Amino acid sequence: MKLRAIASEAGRNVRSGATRAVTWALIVLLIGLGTLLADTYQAVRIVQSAYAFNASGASVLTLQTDGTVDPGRCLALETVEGVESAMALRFTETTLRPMALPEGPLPIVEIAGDPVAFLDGSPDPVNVSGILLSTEVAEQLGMEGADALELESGERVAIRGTYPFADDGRDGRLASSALSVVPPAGHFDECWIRVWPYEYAAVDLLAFTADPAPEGASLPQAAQLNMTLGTAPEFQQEFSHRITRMAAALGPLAIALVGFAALWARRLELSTAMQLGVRKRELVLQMQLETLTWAAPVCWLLLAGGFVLLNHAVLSEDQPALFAGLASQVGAALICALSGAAAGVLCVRPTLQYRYLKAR
Amino acid sequence: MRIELAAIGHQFADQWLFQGLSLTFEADRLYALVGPSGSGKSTLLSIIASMISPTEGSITFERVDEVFWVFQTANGVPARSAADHVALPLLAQGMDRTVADPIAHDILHRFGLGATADRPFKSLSGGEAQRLMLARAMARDPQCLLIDEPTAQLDRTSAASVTTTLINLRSSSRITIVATHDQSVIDACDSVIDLTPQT
Ligand SMILES: Nc1ncnc2c1ncn2[C@@H]1O[C@H](COP(=O)(O)OP(=O)(O)O)[C@@H](O)[C@H]1O
Ligand SMILES: [Mg+2]
Repeated sequence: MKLRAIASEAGRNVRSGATRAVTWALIVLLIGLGTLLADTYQAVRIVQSAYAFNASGASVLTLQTDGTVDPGRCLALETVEGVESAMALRFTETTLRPMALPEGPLPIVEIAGDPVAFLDGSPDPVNVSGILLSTEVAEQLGMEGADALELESGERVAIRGTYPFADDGRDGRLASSALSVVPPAGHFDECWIRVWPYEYAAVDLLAFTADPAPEGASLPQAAQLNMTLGTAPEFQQEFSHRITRMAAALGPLAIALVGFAALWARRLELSTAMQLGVRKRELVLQMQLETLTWAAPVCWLLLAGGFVLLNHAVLSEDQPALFAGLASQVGAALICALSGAAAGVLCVRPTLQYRYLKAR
Repeated sequence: MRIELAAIGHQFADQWLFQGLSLTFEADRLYALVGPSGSGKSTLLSIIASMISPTEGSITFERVDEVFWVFQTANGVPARSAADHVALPLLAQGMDRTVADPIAHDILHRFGLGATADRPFKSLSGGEAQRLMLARAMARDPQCLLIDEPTAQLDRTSAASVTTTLINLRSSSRITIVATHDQSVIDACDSVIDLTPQT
């Protein structure tokens, strides 16, 4: 059979409805939604809860001392794997009295390190020096986006950025402070590290950042900035043991069975075609084409659905990996549908119709 | 082109359907295989088609490579047109669609099916469907054609229309054997082989 004749037969089968393309497409779409997309959705939810954990400050571990933190050693923790960033904090007696703030003065906290990066803040587009205010305080002062803070004394202090610091159960000392970046010299009160992927055991690292406490001073205290979500989240576990992951692995297998069933349902027709002189490999090729006409659009729909789902979920850094995971599953599903179809044709013998049609 | 059966016998359980049957089939002839229901007509066709081997005796084929069977039940693809059914064996021989389609239409005309060419198989009457099976077999052009009770499931008029088309199948390059108990079919054939058991 000529290639063009094979393609033309496939086309006529699809157009006449002999392929039942719509039926098989709907079945595979349902399986794909129930397994592949359901798994992507579940993965997105787990990753989102991990993001929420991180955003709440729960991944920040702190060491509070009586002024014994060595800022060099604290900042050096950034080079340790799993520590995303570090900063040293010194709480001062100095305060700023803004003109507009009725609630009182803002204590200045000196920071060694990069507080904008650490707190996921937004830097002022111009100012490279000055103070940092929490977004909440900036809102109260009615000066979001302002580049300077006017003080009671009439002085103006440049604002170099703002940082989110929600009242969500976290240690609130930075909620209404003015952060001022200083060189990492002398001793600091606290060392903070952001640990990601989260691991509470990383608190052990903090112990090395403090010099021995002088006689009678209180011992360094390690803590987690926000305890409300617990200290032992199980994202990794939830992610790798999620039930839908197995479903996603079974999805392509189920789709292979559908590919097989679509052809096995036509075994009499296939067997007749063989008796009429169509070679098996020609039929395999023709049925691959017919299978593609319904399987490929479904795979495309699943990918598009996954793309929309992932974009909607705003998961900046994990998005490509999740999409790649879905894409490989969808690719596997397509290959499975085609393999199932090929197997369906190969299982049909030209003499099969004899069993079905010979009258006794 | 010949098929020779030498002292063929076939047995199911402990019942012999026929025994010591020696027959020669030759090209350009229409053979009617007659006998009451259960006399072994389909079984003999199965032996000629090499679907089963006879309990005893032997069968030899002389320049016959392909035995093609037309069943009692017409089997087609419900959604595909009559012309598509006839074109398929032509395409399978390597013809282009542009060559195969006119030939298919031509064959349909010869079988009185010209008007049904573009109708889907599912819309054909029983007689039309059975004639289409014969037209398709014609397009396949096998050296040996076995037709099992082509009119058994048809009413009188449809059966008559099938009978008249049978004559089209005779060819100098084909042995044609029709199992039937329809007298009009028998009348259309050149030789009659009777399987009625002699008791
Ligand atoms: N596969 C089989 N196993 C057992 N008995 C069979 C089988 N095929 C046919 N028979 C029996 O052989 C006899 C002849 O059957 P068949 O050749 O179909 O007759 P006909 O086609 O003349 O009506 C019947 O009695 C039938 O029941
Ligand atoms: Mg029979």
